[in-house]
Amino acid sequence: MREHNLQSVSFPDPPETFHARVCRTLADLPERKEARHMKKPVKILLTAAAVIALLATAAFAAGRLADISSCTAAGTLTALPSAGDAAQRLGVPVKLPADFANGYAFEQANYVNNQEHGETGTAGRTWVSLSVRYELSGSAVELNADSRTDLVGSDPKAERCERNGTALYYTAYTLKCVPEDYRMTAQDRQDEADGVCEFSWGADETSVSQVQSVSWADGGTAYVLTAIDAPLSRAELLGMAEQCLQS
Amino acid sequence: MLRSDCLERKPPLDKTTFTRLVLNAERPLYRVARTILRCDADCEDAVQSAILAAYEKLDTLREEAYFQTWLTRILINECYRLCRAARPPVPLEEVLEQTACELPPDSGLWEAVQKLPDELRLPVELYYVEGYTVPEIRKLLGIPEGTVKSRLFRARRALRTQLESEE
Repeated sequence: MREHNLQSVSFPDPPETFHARVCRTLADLPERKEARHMKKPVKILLTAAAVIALLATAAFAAGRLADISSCTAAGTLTALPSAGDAAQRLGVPVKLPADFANGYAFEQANYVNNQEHGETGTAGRTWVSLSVRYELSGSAVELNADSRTDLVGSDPKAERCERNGTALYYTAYTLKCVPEDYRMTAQDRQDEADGVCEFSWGADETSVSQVQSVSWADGGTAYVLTAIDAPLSRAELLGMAEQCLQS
Repeated sequence: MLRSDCLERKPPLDKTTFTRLVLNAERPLYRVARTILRCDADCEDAVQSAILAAYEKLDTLREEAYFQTWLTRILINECYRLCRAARPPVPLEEVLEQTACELPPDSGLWEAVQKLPDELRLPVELYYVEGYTVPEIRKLLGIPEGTVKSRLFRARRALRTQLESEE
């Protein structure tokens, strides 16, 4: 392209009819009502990001989608949801322990609305998940339940173990939450390609966490038990998953 | 690649600020829509739908600084939705009237860009005209960075071939 420069491509100006339509649309917008904004605890959001990372990795591995977005539904639950309520919201039966043998006890729960996005940004399947937080001495684990059993075990990096005939998939990685305008370094790209680091975009500032998770399918329900920067060994986390299976 | 929507964020924009930001972005929005859709009437429909959708979910916008990128992503989705929708036949005269527009200074190059396949045209527009970086386009289009780069490469190669054959 000897005599052309792509930077100089200039498109036609918007026609008058376009500008008029934009103005008309804007003029017709209703005034916004004041919205309620509850600041949610960072830890639970971080855990949500870790679960989305796990789902996205599994979904990528399954070759189905480009992105998953998740949004916490209004209202934090301060009591363990009943099995009936959870089953109605999720569309599948849910087993939820009130506490674990190692001392982690129920703290709070949220229902979460999730949506897949295809390669061209098109909206795909939606589903509801239940995220339950358990705490012990300031450290937390989160149990996520939903109907996406198709994503369980599709992460090629996960280590497969078996407990009482049920396959458990264990993964450990670094989660880096970064601002929307974060520029990835060469090391970041290498870590992402190697599968040792997942990136979550949209944080106020960069933070790095160590994530462990165990996922499994039981009775048509997919579960993910996630621990972030928690003083838990691989064996302890697998033991907690086993307790969920038996509850 | 993931998004943790609805995380901690500032209160949503009011109508006045939203209006100002949309008007500031009007030209880029038109160019993006025009890159995907072939006629101005469709561009108007897509941008109107995108504005309404954006206003509806304004509380999912994390930072005002990302408004244009956020709205562009919504617009791209609307454009693809329009492309998928079955559209009734339009009289030829109307199409000619709608597509008639003043050609830009380097109209040969602009016309060549318009002839690129759909999947190559939009990355070229976003990169060379709107000034988005490759990582930004990766997020806007929801495709891997390598795919963005390869589409830009293929677009440049296709443009070179096209323009050289005309010279």
